[in-house]
Amino acid sequence: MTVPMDPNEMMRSLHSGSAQIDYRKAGRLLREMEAQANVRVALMGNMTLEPLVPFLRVEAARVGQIAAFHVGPFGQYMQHLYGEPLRAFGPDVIVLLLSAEAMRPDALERFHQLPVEDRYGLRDDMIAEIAGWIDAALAQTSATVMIGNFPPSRSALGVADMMSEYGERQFNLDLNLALIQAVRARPRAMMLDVAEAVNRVGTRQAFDRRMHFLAGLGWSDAMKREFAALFGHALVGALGAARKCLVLDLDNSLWGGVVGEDGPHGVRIDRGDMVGDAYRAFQWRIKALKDRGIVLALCSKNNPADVEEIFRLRPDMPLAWSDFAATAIGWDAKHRGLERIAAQLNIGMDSLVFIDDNAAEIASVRHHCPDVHAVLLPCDPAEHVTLLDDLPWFEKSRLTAEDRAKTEHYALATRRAAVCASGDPMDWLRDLAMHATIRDACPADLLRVHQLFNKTNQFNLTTARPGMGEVEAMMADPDRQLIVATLRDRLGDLGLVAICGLRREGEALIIDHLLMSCRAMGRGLEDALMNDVKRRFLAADGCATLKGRYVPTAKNGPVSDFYDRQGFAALSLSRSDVALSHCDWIKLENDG
Amino acid sequence: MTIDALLALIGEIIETDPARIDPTMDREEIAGWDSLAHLRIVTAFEEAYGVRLSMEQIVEIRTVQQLSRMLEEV
Repeated sequence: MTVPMDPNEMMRSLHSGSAQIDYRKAGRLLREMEAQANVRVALMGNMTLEPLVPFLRVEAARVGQIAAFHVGPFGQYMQHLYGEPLRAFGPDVIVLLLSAEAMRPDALERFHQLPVEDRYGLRDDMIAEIAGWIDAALAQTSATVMIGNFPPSRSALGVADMMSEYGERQFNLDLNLALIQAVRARPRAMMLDVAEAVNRVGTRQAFDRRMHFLAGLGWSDAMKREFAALFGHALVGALGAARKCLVLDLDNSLWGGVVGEDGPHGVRIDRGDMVGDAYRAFQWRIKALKDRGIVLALCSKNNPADVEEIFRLRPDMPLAWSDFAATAIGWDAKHRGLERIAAQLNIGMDSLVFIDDNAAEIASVRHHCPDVHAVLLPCDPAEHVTLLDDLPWFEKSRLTAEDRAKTEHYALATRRAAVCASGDPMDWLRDLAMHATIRDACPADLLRVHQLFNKTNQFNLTTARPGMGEVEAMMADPDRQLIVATLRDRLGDLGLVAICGLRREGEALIIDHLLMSCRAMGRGLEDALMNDVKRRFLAADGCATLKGRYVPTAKNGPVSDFYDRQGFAALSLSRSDVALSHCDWIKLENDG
Repeated sequence: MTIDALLALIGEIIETDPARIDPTMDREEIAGWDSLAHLRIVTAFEEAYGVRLSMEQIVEIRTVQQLSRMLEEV
């Protein structure tokens, strides 16, 4: 690839997914954009971390983030947490990378001579230090902290090591296991699986022992690239920046051959056929995305009857018709199909990833829909799973109950829409028998609230994108109130779908945040929520005025007249002219 | 390999006009050529020319001229 010379163009080209890049040049161009950074990343540890920065910068850009970097002084990862430089930098993300050998050099140099009890003690001691660091980092900053684990190394005892009680290999596995448990137990903490990244590169290629002795970082450039890619994935998870929907082509993408020509039994998707097995593995991997909360859709040039037939006649395929929340099958241009899918799911084009085996289709989609991330499948289906695994777009830092039920939610939405289309919308709303709970957010809501803040575009009055630490701070602040609404109806549970963030300012109550998941739009929940806020605060709580804020974005047009509809005067609304909206089709079940 | 190609590679890494790098000047004297830049230069050099230097060779290289001679030695 030729490197464009303009940093903005560089950013776009990375984001649109070109494969080969020159990290040195790209990193340098992107460094010029650091002033506009939207994510601030501090690196800390006991290795020389500066050489990682250009790689991390590029991989952050690849997932659409302009990152600013701060590298803590070598080895002083604990002290540095309390220092002014880190506070002044204000990290959104802190990455901690430790070398076990540099952490406990004396013990690890002569590990095999240590009494077994001391080896267990060494594990506990190292984990206690890291856990203490994480706790301090969480307390001192509002950053998400990412902790690298420890890659294994060959044992001084050779093949006998694994046959020895608590040998080096077992110690490494156990240390990483204890680290997982320590990290998992702490909110705002994530693991970076450095050990697995080393595996992907291959140990012989991942480490450069000369650089280890010369410079205190034994990672080869190949390893730096792999680690940076891992960081890009984690960043998508940490920022809640995952795309919502994977749209798939069918022929030669989900099976070998063309269903319209080869027929439902002629395409290659059979167990035991090598090509069929490769496509089956790909289908299973796609199906697993559903459990991460990624919605699946189909966009294929085919006769709809042929496609329905293959899904009906081939229940042995891992993917079933019911796995897809939206479909666009016909002979329209693919970008039209993608637009229909986005409209049907009520999400933006920038929430879509599109996969196709046809280079011309990919080029056309990139041209017509630059917001869609379009991915060309490699020719060999054996490579498909790796391609999917390498995409950073579907990463979540942790999964919530809403993630696991996502396709079901969209399927229900489609059924609801069908009910709606058949009659009077008011009858439809009543018929849904909605029940809402409007209550203060509690710590258990943290992940879902953070997720909703970071992915809601349309019904979002101010479109603030707080980090997890800032959400925690909102919950803890006595002058602020974070209210959430959950909704269910006779067709199913929609989960936690709306957030209202209030802040007291003298006699006034400011609505800092008001947002609602697109799957709850058009139900009147916003009326129920605002009524509740007006009742609770204007009537009872000594607040004279309720003030709403609206920050227009390219996406939140649907709520530009929200405050007008809610009876707010241009600037504010006071108790004397409170008007509640008519909303008797939702039954409130508030906790009090 | 010409010394010009090598100068271009180094100039790109230390973000300096290659014409302003004296091939006989000690790297300590050249702005931008600090110890980390030195390792980047060596890595890029190894990659470009398919060679591998020892730790000691890496440390001993003081000038562009010495680096270019490495190609004849390795």
